[in-house]
Amino acid sequence: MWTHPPSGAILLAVVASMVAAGCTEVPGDTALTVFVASSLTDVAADLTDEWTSTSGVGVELVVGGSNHLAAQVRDGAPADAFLTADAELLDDLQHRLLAKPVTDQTTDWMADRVPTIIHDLAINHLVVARPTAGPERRPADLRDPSLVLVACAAGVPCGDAAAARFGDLPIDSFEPSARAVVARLALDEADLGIVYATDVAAHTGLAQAWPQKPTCPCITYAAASLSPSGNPFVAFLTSDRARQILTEHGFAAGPPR
Amino acid sequence: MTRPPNAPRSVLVVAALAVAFLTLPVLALLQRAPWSGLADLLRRREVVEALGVSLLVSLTAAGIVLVLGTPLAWVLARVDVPFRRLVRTLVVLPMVLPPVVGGTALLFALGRRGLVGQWLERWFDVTLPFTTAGAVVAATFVALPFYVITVEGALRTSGEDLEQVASTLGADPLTVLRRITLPRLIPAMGAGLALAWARALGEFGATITFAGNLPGRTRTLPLATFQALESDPEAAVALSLVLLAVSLAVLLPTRHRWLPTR
Amino acid sequence: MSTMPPGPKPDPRPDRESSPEPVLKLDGTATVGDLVLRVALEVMPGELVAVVGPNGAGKTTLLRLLAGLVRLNDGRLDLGRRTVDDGSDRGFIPAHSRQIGWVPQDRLLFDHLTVAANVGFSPRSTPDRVDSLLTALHLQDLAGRRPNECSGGQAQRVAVARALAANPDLLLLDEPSTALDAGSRRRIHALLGDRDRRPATLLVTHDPAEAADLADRVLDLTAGRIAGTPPL
Repeated sequence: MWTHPPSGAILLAVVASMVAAGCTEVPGDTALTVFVASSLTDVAADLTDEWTSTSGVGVELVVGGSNHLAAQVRDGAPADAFLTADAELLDDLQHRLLAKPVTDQTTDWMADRVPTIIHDLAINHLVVARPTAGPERRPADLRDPSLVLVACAAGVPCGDAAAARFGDLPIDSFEPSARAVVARLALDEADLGIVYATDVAAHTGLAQAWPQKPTCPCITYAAASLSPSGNPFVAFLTSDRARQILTEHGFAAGPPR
Repeated sequence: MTRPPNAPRSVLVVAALAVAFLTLPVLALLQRAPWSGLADLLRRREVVEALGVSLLVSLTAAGIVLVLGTPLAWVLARVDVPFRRLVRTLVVLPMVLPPVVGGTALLFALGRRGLVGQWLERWFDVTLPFTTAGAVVAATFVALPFYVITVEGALRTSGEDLEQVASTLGADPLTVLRRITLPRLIPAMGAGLALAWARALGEFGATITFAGNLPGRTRTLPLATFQALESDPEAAVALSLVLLAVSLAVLLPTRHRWLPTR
Repeated sequence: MSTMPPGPKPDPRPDRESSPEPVLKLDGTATVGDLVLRVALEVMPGELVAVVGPNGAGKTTLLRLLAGLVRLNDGRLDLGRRTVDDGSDRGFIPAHSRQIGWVPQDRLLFDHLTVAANVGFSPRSTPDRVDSLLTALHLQDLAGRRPNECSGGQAQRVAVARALAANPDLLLLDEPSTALDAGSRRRIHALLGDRDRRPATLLVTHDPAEAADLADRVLDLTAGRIAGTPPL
């Protein structure tokens, strides 16, 4: 598992996600363009590697905050698939999806024109994290105004989930993505941050602020194809191999299909 | 319309295209504006708050730019310091640095664990990230080079002749600065300051990376607009209009100070 | 008749033989670009020395050297009893500490100040001196105007008045009469012709008639050297 990228690289990832332009170039005859929420950056890399090695089709990943990417798709960005932490965003994008979801009337020749939509692709839990170098904390510290607390902004899935779970907190900065929160903690510029469990698992610079059990409200990822070529890729995401990769990265994989 | 005799048609056409290119986005913005609901949108707390933060941060940054930038411009133009070219390149660096990179660099320098920042915290209990002061630092960082370049250029162009005459008349260097150099520099200082202030007002990347994003404290109009764009596009347009209006409100009345006058 | 305000009087010393000391004593070399200026020169109080020569000979450089805007490579420059330049950093007295007045070729008036403010700019000037100079050069009506409202002749008179108001021991004039109207030239000449009151003066000119009219001596400067001076 790819652990402990240096902090500078984390910040560069933040830069990339802010402009939603990070991409992984993989040679293939026709590459797919896949938009992924930034919290899926690490696992998406492994998923697309696996997909490319089995199908021979390359994937270009575009990483960013879920709603930032949704706005781009809404404005016509050429994505083949969209993996998001906010399933509601997919509803807004109905006009980009080719037809209504699968019904019994589907025949074979229509199969590849029907978009694949998967809800409950994976589940991620929110966790209150601290820099590994910092002291252990207690739940009461969340409301301590003298400590620097960062979280995602409202409208970003991790921000909405944090608000739903914790209510009003003395937050010192509303970051545009979970990755930005991770960056703050990794640099020890913040004492506490509300991030995903997968971030804590992936980054040795972060640790749980205090022992926490997976709790909901949590983040449920959804995936949708936005073009015929995206269908096989999205279908692959429900395969056993994909679910195995998701679990390895710390996600709770969705139900088998 | 009669074409001026010394203006080739091709030049006029290209110039017209350039004007269209620059004004089209602004016109599109105005066209999208929710004019009917605008009054309510503008009264929203988040808009008023962002406006307040933006004005405070940009004006404070402009003040610091004036105080720090004028002596620097003067030294670069008049004093033969060692490595002058190197210093000049370093001064211009924030202009070419992508703002987010600049903000990241500021974090490494002045953040809680930064090169200098850690001592600020340890000795003076001063933290800059997540504070309005931090937003001012970020804005000053990106705006200062604009002012220095403008004023230094003016000093180089105007030359030292008058200052030399003044010194032969018995005025010591400080008097020369006060009575000759600075009064003649006022137009260039105004131009540089307008440019720097406008830059500070529009700053986004360095602010959000270094100072963070907190309503009422560090969320300037650009930050608020960026956030609104994803969840509430109408509010984003309203915020953009506010930015536009504020810029025009300051730059138009002062244009005789900073636009080259006929 | 125009009156020059009283200039600095030679220091009377009853217990010494009254041989006046030179206001200016120069013997040195200065290099500016390609030009090497090698001059030995003495000027007494009240003396007006004309400096003539072809373009590029170094006449303006000589004036700038005396003014303190160009430095000696070696040699010595004394103004009064003070050594103001001996080629070293420590021995160099800058322009603002020398008691000189310089009227450059381009006049270089301060256009953000009025005529009166220009003339009175020097910290060494006094309101009385300024007034009498404005009168002597017929500038009273222009006192409140800006330099860009003045004609060429008027501006030249302002420049001369400004330098004289600074109460200089040594007056340096760089082609003051070139392209000047007859009236202005007459007034300036009248002022400079007052032997009892004028300071020691170096006058760079292209006009042999002017040199003949005003000068006690004429120096011919060619290629950085005064005619008759043997090469190094």
